[in-house]
Amino acid sequence: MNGSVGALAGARLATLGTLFMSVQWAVEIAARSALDAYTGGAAVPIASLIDAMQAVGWPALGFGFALLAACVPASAPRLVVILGAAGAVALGLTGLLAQGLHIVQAGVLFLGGHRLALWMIWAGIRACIRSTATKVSSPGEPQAQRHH
Amino acid sequence: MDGLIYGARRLGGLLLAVGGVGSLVAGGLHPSPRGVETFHDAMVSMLSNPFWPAAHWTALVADSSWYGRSCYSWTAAG
Repeated sequence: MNGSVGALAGARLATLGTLFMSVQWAVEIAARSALDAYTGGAAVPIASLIDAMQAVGWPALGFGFALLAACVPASAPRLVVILGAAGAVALGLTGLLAQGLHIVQAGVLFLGGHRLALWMIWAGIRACIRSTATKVSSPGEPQAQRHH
Repeated sequence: MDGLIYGARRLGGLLLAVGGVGSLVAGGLHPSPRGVETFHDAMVSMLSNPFWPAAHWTALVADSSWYGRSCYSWTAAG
């Protein structure tokens, strides 16, 4: 957790991507009402809106978290960091390929989200434990004095 | 001040983990199109699935600034 430029940039990009995708989830919930029109082949603006939002939102979220995971190697074991970063990149690419270019086969890359979720859980719990341990072990006095 | 920073980092870590669990649940609930060849058919297949709303409500709740804010405070405090 060194607060490097890469980690901070990734955190900000992931934050923006997450907030953007939160709005996008709401649009997707609303899209179900257009199912009949969409099935019938009618022009459905909300479907185009979802495509556009996902083509932007997934890369922002995915590449942001990939940068964050890669630039904070102490966040989790190396394998979990690699899986998380790779999964996040896959998620970002899916937005471009599946939603932006409508390549159906690219949808399988959404599975990268599971790897990213694993990193999030691991890194979150580790940060929680470490901050608790640090607070307990350093209540304003040097570490060395506590062992005497 | 230190207590505030540690508290923010602890909360950030907790929310990051909660976001990860929510993301896993949403991904598990999300319908996946099978046996379709076009993007249109894939969308019709997924929109027709009764789990569509549940998957996206879960994602919305898990996302709503929680893990975005958490990852920010987590590294910023680092």
